[in-house]
Amino acid sequence: MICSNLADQQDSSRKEPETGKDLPRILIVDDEPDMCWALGKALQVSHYSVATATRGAEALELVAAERFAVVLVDVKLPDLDGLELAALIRQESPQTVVVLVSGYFYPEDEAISEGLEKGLFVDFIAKPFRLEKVRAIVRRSVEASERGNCNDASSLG
Amino acid sequence: MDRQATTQEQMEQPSLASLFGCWKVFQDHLHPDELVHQVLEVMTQVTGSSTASLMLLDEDDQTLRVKAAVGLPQDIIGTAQVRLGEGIAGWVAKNRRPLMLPDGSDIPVSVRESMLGQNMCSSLCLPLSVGTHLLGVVHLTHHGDEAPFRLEDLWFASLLAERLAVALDIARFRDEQARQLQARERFIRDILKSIPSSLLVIDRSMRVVSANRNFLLKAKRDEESTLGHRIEEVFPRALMEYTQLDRQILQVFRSGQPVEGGKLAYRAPGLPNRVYYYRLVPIKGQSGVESVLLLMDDITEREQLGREVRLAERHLASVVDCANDLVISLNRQGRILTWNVAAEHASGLKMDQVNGQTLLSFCASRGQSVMADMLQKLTQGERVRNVEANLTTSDGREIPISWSCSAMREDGGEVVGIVAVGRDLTERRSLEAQLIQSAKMASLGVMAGGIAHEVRNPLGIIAISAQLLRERFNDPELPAGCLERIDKAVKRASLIIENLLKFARASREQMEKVDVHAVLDETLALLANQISLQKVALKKDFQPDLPTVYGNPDLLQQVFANLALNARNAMPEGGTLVVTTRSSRADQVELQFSDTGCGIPSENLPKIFDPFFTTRPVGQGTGLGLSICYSIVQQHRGTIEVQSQPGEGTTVTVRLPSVTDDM
Repeated sequence: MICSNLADQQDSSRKEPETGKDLPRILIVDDEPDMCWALGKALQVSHYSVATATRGAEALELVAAERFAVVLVDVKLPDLDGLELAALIRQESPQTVVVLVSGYFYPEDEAISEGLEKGLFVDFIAKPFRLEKVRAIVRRSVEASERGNCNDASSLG
Repeated sequence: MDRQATTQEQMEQPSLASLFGCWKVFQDHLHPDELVHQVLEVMTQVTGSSTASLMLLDEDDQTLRVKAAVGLPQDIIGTAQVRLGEGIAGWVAKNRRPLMLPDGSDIPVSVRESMLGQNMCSSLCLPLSVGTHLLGVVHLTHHGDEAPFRLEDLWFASLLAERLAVALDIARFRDEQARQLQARERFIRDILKSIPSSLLVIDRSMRVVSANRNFLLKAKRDEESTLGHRIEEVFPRALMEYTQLDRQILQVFRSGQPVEGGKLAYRAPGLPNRVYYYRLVPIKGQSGVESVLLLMDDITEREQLGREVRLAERHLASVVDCANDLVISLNRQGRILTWNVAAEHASGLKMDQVNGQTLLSFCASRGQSVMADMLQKLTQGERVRNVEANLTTSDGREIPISWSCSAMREDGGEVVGIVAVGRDLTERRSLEAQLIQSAKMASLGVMAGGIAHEVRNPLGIIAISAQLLRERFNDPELPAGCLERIDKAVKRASLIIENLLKFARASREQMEKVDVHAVLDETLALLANQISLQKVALKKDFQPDLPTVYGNPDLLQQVFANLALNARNAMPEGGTLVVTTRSSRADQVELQFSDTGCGIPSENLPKIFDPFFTTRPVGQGTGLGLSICYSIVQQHRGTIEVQSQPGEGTTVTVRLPSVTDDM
């Protein structure tokens, strides 16, 4: 298990003004550790507390253990399909907002529009992406999650 | 009549004079029959006998037969006979001594009685002999009351008988010689007659002195119009002019040496033209060349046959020379006997440059052992399969040839040589290469989605890292971390692109020693995304220290990619692909691609290597993948086989010959 809770480590070392407990929790699921690292850094800068997982099963364990505001899910995972994982997370934790991240699909792909319609995920980010866009989507998703109405987030995309 | 008178006078008293008188008889060289008759006449007159007869001994049946008679009926000549020992004549012949009756003292009674029984009063019987050789007897008789023979008569008759015996013996000898000579002549004549060649003997005056039957028949001539005629009267003028026969005959007379003339065409009137081979042979006598023999052998049929054989040969040669394939014949030692035009064109080597050399010496080194092995098997009478071996051309190029060889056998079945038919594969190879390339492009299309995702990941990492750097976030470790990850991602993206290009470009032509694992790793890396996207787990079960194979890495990569993609396609719901490598035999490497997919229905198994056979919807598969795998593996002298259990999975096994020392 290469699971690590980056947010905890980073927060204590960097001595951010906000305490880790108060920050919104974000889970990044991507089979690429480097992607997890880079995306994690970008979100930490924007004052989120970040956890990462490189496998679907691992992500499900984390989701079961704590409540994440937002989960960023990569489509391609070694053990699970990203779409399946989204459905499982939604089942486990209905308040959690799922955002699909992939280099495989295009926004206009049928699988994406279908998933959006079903409410499996609220948004789709195609790789490679601009940080501003990721941050904007994460921010809106966190807000929607905090309002406890994850369905609202879909209107943000 | 003179002689008659003389003998008459001396009748009463035979004297030396009368003896000399009748001696003449012997000098007249009369015919033996006449001589005998004359001598008997003389004897009768001089001795005054009533009868005289001469009997000759037939040695075969020991019988005396009357040859001549005087004073007796002439019909006894040739009919009357007496056995040796019977009667007076028989007694004389048997005892070889003269007998004079009735005076003889020691004469058996039976002989004496035989004389009396024939109404003789006196009998004088003498043996005719030369040395110990008895020819016959002479018998003189007195009848009635005439005076018996006297001693003088015996003396006279004995002298004459002795002389007659010698004369008869000489005549008999001459006769014998003449008969032998005749027989020999007949023998030689028969030989000449039966010789199936035409013979003419020509003398110094250029006249024909002898012509055998064969000549006369063939020339439609008779002896009369041939013998004694000059040679130019016997042969047509045109023939004489172009053969210069007379001049050549003269030359033989001069030199005494035979002349091998050559061919001549001669048409007898009313007969079809015939071709002869003629020779001139001197016939030498004591004074040098006495005549010249003209020998003519009829070679019309042989010529005709030769012409037909030449025609057949030319026809065969043109069949072989018009063939597009290389047609080469070899002896048992594998040395080139013939080499057709196609072989000359392909190799740039002319027949005289390859004649007697081994075919192996014109094969590229890599194909030599396969070729040598095949030729060896053929010589031992074994059947062989086609092999591929490159031919080295005069300018050092190599052309791929597929060789189909067979043994040439004698009637007895013994292998006397080998026919090698070679097909130039250059054109086929280029068509195959085009097909392989298009199949490759088709599989690239399938792979494109996976590859895009594969590239976007590092691109995404680069993008984020670059943006983080620009934000100058207050984290001292961040810039180094970003740069490190940018570096890493760039390398990964480059590698993916590089692999992609490597796969896409046209295959190299050369074969080399190939590390199968390296090619497999590269291929599977390119496809890893594609495979894992479909939740297919990839397991590698590689045998360490696998021997290298001799092959084309580009083509092998295409085979491996095809097999891996096929496995993936068989598992739309996910599964496991196991790639195994083994050194199954000392000279072989075995690769297996086993999936846990849908399997292949048994009715489709025989068709899966057929070009354009596909079970996938239009636009999703070309149906070329496996047929190209098959052709590539064949080109590597390997085998490919498929085992499948519908619903459980499929295993494709590829076997490739590993590199041995002689390659």
